[in-house]
Amino acid sequence: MSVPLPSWVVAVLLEDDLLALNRAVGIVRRRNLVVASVSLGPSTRIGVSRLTCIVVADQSAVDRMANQLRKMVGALEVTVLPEADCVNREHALIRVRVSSAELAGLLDTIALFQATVIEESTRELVLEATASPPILGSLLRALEPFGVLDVVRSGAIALPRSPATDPAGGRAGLPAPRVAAAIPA
Amino acid sequence: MTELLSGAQILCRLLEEQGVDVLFGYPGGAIMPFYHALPESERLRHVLVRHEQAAAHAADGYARASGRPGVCVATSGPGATNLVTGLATAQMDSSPVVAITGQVPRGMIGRDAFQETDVIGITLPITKHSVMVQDITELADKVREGFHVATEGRPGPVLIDIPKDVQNQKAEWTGGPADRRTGAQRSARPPVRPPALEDGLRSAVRLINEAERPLLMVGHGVILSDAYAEVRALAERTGIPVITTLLGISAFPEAHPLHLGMPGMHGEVHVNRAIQHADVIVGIGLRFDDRVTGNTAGFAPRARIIHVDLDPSEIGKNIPVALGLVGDAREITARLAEAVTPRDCMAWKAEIAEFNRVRRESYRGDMAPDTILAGIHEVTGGRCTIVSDVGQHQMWVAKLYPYNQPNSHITSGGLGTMGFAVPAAMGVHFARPTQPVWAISGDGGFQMNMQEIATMVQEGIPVKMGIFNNGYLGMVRQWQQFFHGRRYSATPIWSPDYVKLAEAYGIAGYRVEHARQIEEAVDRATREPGPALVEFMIEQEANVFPMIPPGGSLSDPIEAVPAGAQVP
Repeated sequence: MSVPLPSWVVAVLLEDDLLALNRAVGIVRRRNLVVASVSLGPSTRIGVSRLTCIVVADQSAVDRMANQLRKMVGALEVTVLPEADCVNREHALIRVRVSSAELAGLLDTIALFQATVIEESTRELVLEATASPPILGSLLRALEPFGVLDVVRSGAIALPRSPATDPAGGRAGLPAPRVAAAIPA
Repeated sequence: MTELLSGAQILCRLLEEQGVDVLFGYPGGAIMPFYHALPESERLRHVLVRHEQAAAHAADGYARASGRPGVCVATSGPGATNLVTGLATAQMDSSPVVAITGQVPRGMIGRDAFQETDVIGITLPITKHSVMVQDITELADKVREGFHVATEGRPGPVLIDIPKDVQNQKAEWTGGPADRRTGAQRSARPPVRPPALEDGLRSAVRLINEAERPLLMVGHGVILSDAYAEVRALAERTGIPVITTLLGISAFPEAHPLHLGMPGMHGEVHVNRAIQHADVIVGIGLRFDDRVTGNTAGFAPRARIIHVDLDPSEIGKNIPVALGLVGDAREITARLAEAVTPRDCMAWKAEIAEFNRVRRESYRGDMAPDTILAGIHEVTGGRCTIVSDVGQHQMWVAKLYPYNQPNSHITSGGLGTMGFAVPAAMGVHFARPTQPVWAISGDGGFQMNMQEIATMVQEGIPVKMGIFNNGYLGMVRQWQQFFHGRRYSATPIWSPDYVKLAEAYGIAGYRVEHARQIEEAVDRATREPGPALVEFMIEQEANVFPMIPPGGSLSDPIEAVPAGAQVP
């Protein structure tokens, strides 16, 4: 079996309009790579939004994609990091069926995954949970026997790990943003 | 002075401000306010094409020949969608085309209105940029930004979509250029000029000085950045032989002793063998397209590649490089030429000379492509611009005509758009009104846009059209002959009587069946004050040799019809 391809967090600061989003997603799409997740939200700058894509590809393919994004009018900043070098979370809202017989078990599951009940009725609960995408998957599987009625997930968002938490000491080893001016011979 | 003008009138003022003198277009419902305002402009000449695709190719031809943006105009819906092939052609070949399209009024957008199409959505992947003007207050900024984006850095096409009611909106116009970039652009992107460039130049000079078998490969970027003198200086100072890619043809004079020829799928054997033996290749303004490299795994196996390109995303995109230098071809080549150690590369040139092979072409009759092209060169004194279409004739025109004037060869390289030559040549005429322009097509490509003869007649455009008629879609037929057991599926193509066609359009038309008729026909066509057509009847199953089979290595050319594919 071949070695699985690595995952990358591609973060793009975009001019805040749908056309820029359309353009950026088009550039990601037409490289024909595996895109595991896409999310969009406001950034710290007014008029600028942040697009986060998790892309599964070899490094040269993801670099080519990032270089095309960097050329795009309306893309202000593009960073690519290995997913392993990022903290990565996803938010979910989950509507789950509730019955008195199963309530205790359900509450245990909710507590175990540190989810929160944000709306309740006699027949169902709405939970919110924030976790890394695989943990969120585990939560959904754990809730399945109770009856999951509806789920909405935000898509993954990510930040680079802080230098202090990196056992290698700092972020050395991450690919530098490629300006590709001169690659030493 | 402040005037109250409509959006359409302001658009005309903006086009004048941007230095536009000719527009290629076709009117329709959603662009009518613009066409109403257009006659008020004394400067803007409009050329009415017969199909919007021709407007886009003509704008492209104008842009390539002049270095200034070419402008095409179309209405919404079918008008806009007909531009698509032309925009994709310009995108692949880095040509600054600005397309202006009418759109249905804002209130109708999204309701499948008559002639409504999401042209922004359609053209996003095939333009450098596309925008819709949402209100007259943004019109000036968006048009100025559009022209700026089209020409800045690596050029490319830009589409500006303007709803009909925005064209009719009124606003105060004071003229005067404003800042051409949008707010977000102004705040972002410091100019890319990394300090590493200096190190890169030093490394490049070292590599070039130490190379025993160096080559220069020059592409379209040399023409776009007007780096002819700099490339020549670098070549002459070092004695390094020069290879010109399809779009790099005419970036270096072909009569020059250092000129080698075109590389790649139909490159001459000695050119491709030089690449396979080179130890350093300096690629300037090219993108190592798959038609140039063949199978990349086997491309230039001994060479360290120095890649000079304005677009950082091209460095290392198609082939691994030892060194990438990002910047203007002219500036970087000039710096390299200054810094390299003078030498003459005699031993290497002698080695390449050994690679030369005489190839025996077989043609029934005497209408060989080189004879025809020599005739055109002779009659025009080498002063004409040759615009070629796509297919076998394109390769002959690229390889057999001696280009010694800068930027005298124009063709659709990246997209390979059949039907390009005739309309693009119309655009070239407006960029070079005093020079002869020959559009050379095959009988397939010519029939894709031959309706534009009417445009030439109506607008007085004296383009000369040469048709290489072999009764086949020749390049596809050649592949069928070599790789598909001579099953000529859908490649025989019937043509009308082109001389009678010329007559129907009221222009001169000549049919040439023997080599002895070539010069006279070309001469008479050239002397015609208006457009003229010459049909060259060539060998039906002539092939373009050599040929690297698709996916093959440059080391393994096909130099004769493969066994089993001979014509019985």
